[in-house]
Amino acid sequence: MVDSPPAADVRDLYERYGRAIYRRCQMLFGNDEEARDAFHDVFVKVVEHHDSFRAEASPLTWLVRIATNHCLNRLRARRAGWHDRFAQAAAVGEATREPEALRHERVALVLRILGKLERAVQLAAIFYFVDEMSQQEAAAAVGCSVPTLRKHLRRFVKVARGELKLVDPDLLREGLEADFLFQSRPADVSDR
Amino acid sequence: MGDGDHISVFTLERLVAGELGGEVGRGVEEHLAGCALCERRHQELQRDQQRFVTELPYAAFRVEHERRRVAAVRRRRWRWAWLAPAAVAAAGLVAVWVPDPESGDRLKGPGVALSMVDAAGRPIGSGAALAPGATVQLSYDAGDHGYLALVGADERGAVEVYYPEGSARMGPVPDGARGRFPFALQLDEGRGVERFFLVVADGPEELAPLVVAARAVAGPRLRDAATLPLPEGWAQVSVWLEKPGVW
Repeated sequence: MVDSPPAADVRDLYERYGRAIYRRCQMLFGNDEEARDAFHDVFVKVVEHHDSFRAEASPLTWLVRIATNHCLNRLRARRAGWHDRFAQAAAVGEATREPEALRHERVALVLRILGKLERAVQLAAIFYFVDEMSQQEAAAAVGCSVPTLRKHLRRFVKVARGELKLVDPDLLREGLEADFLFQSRPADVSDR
Repeated sequence: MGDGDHISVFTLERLVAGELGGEVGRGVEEHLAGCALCERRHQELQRDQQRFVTELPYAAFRVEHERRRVAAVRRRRWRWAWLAPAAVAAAGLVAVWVPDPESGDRLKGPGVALSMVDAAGRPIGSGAALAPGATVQLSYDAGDHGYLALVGADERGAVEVYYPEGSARMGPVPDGARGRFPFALQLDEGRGVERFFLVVADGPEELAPLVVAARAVAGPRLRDAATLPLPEGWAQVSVWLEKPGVW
């Protein structure tokens, strides 16, 4: 027997959180058509599991986790060409080091190398570098301890360095790789 | 909140969603008042929120959801017809008649009955609410009639002939005078009432009058449409299910 949420609750859920879910889908798929399709699936899933949703202190954390996992599953299933799709995005903003430009670069880098990472590391990188969650928030969203999250982030940085070497060896020679990843996000990256 | 010089995107998202209140919310608001960068990001998120509810309004989402639901129902029903015998075997359904005199809404003709069991063989009463994905096995008692048909109708207005498949006429009783249909149905994610009509006759009568009659009652008033206006000599009984859906 299904316990459906009242229609007004569903509408409220949609209007408060739909955008965040949709933007996550859009970021990971890179086009509106697939983003809308994934968004639809995710939102139906959200409604079906609204009981879990209600129990969360931060519903947004729960929603973003569901949306991120769903998109990563779909991308993995079709063996997405991560590199080709995000290569262009990775080049955006290289000319400037303004905070917003740095953030775009960081997000582009995360997207570029997602395909080389394990699921837990993918989630850690997205929550920490894209959503700019604190380590505590990101650990809660991934479902791991803070030390484990740090281990995932170290793994991400290692892979990212290898990728940066391919994109722009000058970055490494100039010692800028750490800045490239960590600037313009909250500064609690104690594992630098 | 972010621990550095600026507020994290995640915290701003929570603010826009109305999740932040109390001291944390006030702290964020104070920061925004004095930080041009964070305020710019915050305003961009708010504009994006406005764009979202304008460009992808909830009403449009509901329309798209309904379109997908109907498409899924059609696909799934087609697959049932193909996979039904295997599905029955896989579910371990047993070929037993489950007497349940109250399972049908109304009986016309001696001995005619229609009943339902779930995948574990437990009886399902007429009018039960079942979750999407639930498996239903229908069993019949055709009395002393040799031919029958099973037709389903739903609140959406759809009508489907489940038995016999691909024929314009009623089929011979598939498993003796009392038995089960050689398929099981798995409920889709739609919502509303679905009613199954068992119609029996002494010969391979044309199905057209039955389908026309079922279409006439399919729709919002289906819950109360226990019987169909059918030709003389036919007997019928029906059972129904409630699909709560996810909305």
